[in-house]
Amino acid sequence: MLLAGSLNQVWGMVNNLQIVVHTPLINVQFPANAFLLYDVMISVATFDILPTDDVYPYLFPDLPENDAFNDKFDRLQIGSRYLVMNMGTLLLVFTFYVALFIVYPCCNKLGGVLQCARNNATKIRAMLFWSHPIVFIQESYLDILLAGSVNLYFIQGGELKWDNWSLVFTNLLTVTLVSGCGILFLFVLLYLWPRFD
Amino acid sequence: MQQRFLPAYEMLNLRHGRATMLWPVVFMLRRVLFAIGVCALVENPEIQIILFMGPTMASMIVLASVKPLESASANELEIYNSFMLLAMSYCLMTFTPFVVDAQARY
Repeated sequence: MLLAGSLNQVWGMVNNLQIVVHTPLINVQFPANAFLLYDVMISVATFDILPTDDVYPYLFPDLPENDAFNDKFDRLQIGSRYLVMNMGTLLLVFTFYVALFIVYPCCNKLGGVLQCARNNATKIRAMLFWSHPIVFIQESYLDILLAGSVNLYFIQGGELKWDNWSLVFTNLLTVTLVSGCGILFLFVLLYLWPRFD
Repeated sequence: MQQRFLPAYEMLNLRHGRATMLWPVVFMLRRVLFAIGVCALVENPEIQIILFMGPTMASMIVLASVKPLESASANELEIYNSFMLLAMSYCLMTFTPFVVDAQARY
């Protein structure tokens, strides 16, 4: 109970910090000393704690070189046009949940035979349906929308290509995550709200 | 159903009626409008700021009228945060072409 209460406060703080930290994206002249402060805060607000920028170029070698959407995005560590490069640590968290969605049916199938598989299936079920995915999308909402719209903007502009697997992966991921955000919004608006009692 | 989708109701005080659900809606709408403004309206910083101001004002109104959050202090803290963001965005407005005189702008 105590932990849940303090965790709520942390989420509340991070949610506000996300908005505050991303305000320099508004196309107004910000002084360089303000950006120094934002540089420190952005990694906390976007949960970008691991040095993923050094690793992802090896995982997605086929992504063509490109510039940031504009200078503002570049300074706030949205330095690429591709979602996989901009998501950072959150992409690893997303991969973890996707892996759990694959492991869960296997554990469920094996549950009839093995006791440990049954226990794991129970644990994973409590996580996956639907508490952790909702928290993940809620907390990374702004990050997904910004990285996703930069990626989608270039699909619309006809500049984005589907030439290799890295590009296909980043485009599909963009569509999945942005539609996930849309689905959560519609779900709260059209399903949870009318059924409120 | 509330147990199953608990995180969607997280931090909410469900005793304040149906309007409580306005808070998560405003929460998400605010981010959507901010992302659209920042990406699609680069040439119009004043509209970007208005798209930032409107939902901040809306969230302040929801917080003050419905009091959707669990504790009174959390509500007051959020109202204070929104107010400060709103005050900041009013100041930002002076740095846009909305102020015609460049001398006054900077």
